[in-house]
Amino acid sequence: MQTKSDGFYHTVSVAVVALALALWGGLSAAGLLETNTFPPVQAIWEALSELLTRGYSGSPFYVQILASMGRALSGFGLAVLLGVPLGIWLGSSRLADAMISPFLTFMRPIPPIALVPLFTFYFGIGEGSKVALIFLTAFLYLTVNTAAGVKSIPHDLILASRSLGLTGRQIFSHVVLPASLPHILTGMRIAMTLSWALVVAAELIAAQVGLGYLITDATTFFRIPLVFVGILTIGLIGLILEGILLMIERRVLHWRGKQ
Amino acid sequence: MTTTQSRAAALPLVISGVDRRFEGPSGTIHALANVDLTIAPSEIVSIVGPSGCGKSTLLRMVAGFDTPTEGRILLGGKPITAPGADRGIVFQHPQLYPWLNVFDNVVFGPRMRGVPRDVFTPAAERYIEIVGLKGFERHFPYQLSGGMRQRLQIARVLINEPNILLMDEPFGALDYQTRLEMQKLLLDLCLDIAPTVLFITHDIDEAVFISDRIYVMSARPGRIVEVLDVSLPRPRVFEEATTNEIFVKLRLQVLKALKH
Repeated sequence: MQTKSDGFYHTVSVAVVALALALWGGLSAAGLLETNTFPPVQAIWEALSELLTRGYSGSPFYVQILASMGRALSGFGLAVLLGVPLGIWLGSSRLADAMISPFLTFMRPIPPIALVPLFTFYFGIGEGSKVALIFLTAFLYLTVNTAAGVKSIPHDLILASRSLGLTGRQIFSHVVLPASLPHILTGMRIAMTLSWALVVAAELIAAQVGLGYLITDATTFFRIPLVFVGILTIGLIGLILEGILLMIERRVLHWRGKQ
Repeated sequence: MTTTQSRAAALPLVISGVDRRFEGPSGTIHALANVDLTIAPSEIVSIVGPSGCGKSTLLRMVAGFDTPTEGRILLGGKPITAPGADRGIVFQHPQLYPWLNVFDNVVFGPRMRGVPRDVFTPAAERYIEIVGLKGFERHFPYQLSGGMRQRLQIARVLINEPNILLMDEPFGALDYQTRLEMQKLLLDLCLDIAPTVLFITHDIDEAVFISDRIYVMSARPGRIVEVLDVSLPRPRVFEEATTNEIFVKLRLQVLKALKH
């Protein structure tokens, strides 16, 4: 089989996306799409400029974006602060793992959305319940991934380090932490994506601002172009967030998977 | 940290009456039985034995990762109680820090133990050159071949000027050509810095070629069944040594002892 350069496949991706957009524009221009439910590109564009100039239900568009990002990042940040240390503990102590992991294993397959009513009951309809929902999902993912990272460290590497004269504390900070960093950073990237995707679910809980709120509220009033703008914005920001974390991963972990 | 100092500091290793039993789920496993072994400073001693005979267990006890059920292991007259940089362990699969380059891997031990930079930097340059990695200081382990990684692992323990090198089948995972190169490196080291070496292998030719003395172990429970002095003159060159009649005779003796 002939091998092509990365650039070739990159061009294919861009071309296919452009073609899909052109097809969409063409179909709506030809009147082949039911414009009320599947709006033409033009209508989406107009909805975007309306959002940018007048905002939505009293809040400017950027405030909607920032509200959602604030929730996602608060939940994600808390998850990193608590999940990474807990994961390291679980990865290094079999006893801790035996005591705590059953709860994590049980919680993990529960779809976060199933917890929305309960969380509203526990944490109220304010920011608390939304951040808590995002936190829990990201936290479960990060803890398990970090623990897996610590467990993946070859035992002989720890022995070699002890033999070089390292103290227990030095082994922790100079060997265990860097050696589990690949798992931690991958966990963070996926937890970030999850957190962002969960914003919409979290904002179903009586939010007054945010991209998830915008989408649900606009649907109620059948303002479909606005719904499309909301969805496209969520997708775009998700891509950017993941791209940033992927870039950090590649820079820090140039050595990963090559040993 | 000069050669003469490290040579003067080399200490004899005395293993006497060592027994090791493990309590497993299916009863007691008797790994080692009444092992006696002595290594004088600057001697190269090999242990040859079948897989699972407990030779690695013995090496790990000298490293301080494990303790004998019975018997004593003394380095310079003092019992071994914990791992330490005075014994340099070389694993079959190089245990390197993949996030550190060659230089930083070599200086990692001294740096962590608080040795000043102006002391460990010239030492690192020296040992990197001795093992043949000069010019690769900024390379990362993933950019090195298997043989070069093993060279790096050796430099990383040599910089600590250990009393003894503990080598656990260090060239077993390398291709034949590279293995010969590494054996040559070890023999060159002996002429240069004269380390004391406890070497574990199941390659009989390798044991005869590099050693001053060979201990042959039996299958589990591992016990010493034969001790053979290797009177091949040094310096040794592989092509000449392996055709020497002493070599040929010794390898047959080891083979016979293994079938014991």
